[in-house]
Amino acid sequence: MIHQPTDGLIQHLAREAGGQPRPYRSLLPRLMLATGAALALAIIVVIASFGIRADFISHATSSVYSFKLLATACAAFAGLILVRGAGTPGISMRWLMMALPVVVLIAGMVWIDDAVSVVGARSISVPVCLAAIVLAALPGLILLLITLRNATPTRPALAGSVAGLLAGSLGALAYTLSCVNDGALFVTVWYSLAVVIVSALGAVVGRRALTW
Amino acid sequence: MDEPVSTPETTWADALRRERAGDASGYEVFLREYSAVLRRVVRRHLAIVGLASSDTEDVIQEVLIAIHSRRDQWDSSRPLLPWLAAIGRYKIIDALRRRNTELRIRSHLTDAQWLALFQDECTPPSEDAAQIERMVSDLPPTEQTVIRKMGMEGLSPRQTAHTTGMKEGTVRVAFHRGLARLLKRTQNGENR
Repeated sequence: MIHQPTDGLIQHLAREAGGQPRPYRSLLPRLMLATGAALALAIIVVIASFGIRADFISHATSSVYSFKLLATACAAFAGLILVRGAGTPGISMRWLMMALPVVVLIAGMVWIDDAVSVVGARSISVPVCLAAIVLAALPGLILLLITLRNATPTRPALAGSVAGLLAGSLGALAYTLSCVNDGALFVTVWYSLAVVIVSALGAVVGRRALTW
Repeated sequence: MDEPVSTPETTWADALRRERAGDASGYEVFLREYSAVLRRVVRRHLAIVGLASSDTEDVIQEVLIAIHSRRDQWDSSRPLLPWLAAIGRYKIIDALRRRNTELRIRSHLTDAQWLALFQDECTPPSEDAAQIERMVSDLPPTEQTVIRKMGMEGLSPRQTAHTTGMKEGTVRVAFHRGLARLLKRTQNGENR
């Protein structure tokens, strides 16, 4: 059977052999660069709009702070691996990575004596926490989506959602500088909700922005 | 000749590696063999989702162009087939989704277009107004009112809603239902 138009296209494409627009570049280094920049931007947003908590120096050695740092860093690491998978066709998504932050959160709730209730230290703790993490995550989300756009995402909404997961985790990591709610339950509930919001946002934007 | 699908991983990966050095003939063989695989996949996919197979070549070409334009991004130390499959899957779904949307947009007619269709197709030139009157009076009361107002007196859906006291949405729904019922009856009449 002759497939005339497709045959013509194949000959045309074959004539361009060797004329690749650019040599192969691995996604991971670019992604790590974007992640670093996203974290820096998130820290700038948190310091500029919410400030570092007054007793940060003494607080930094507490077990609650280590817990916040470990949980958000683990979530960011899992996000990084998942974004890499979403930007590389044919790689299986390592969803099991998500167990890492989940285990840390559960361990925190079991072992840490909460100084605050689930609604936080102040009446505005919950809205401030959510707004701070989402705001801090936004510049990084844009950066990560641009990086993914230059890669080869084959599931745009899913790629956007894991980019949101990474950006949200970096936002949460930055927000630990400012957060005065020293409770594992608070962190588990509200940090996670903020990250889920950024992830959903990433899915919505990614669905359109990551098609090619 | 070897069956092309028997060891595609090694031969195709090799062809793509040599393409980077400018080997056009190996690349062309790869594109041909892969388009043959795509043709089978796309045909079956189109059949499963109930679309005509006439779009097959267009979809294949979209996949080939996608692979061609992104071929620099394949890591030659990784397996090629999963990479091809992920891009193929994405582009096939994308192409079919776009066709579905176009189909939906094309089949969505305005009230005026429906009316024109109805008047052109369902008014036999030999039969007169009495025939239409008889068919319209057989309709349920709401549909009958709306068809009379919009189809015969030429009111807009809003005007009809205003004069009858119905909601505009109800008017539109009743109009469509009424037209559909009339259309069905005329067709049945023709088959008789």
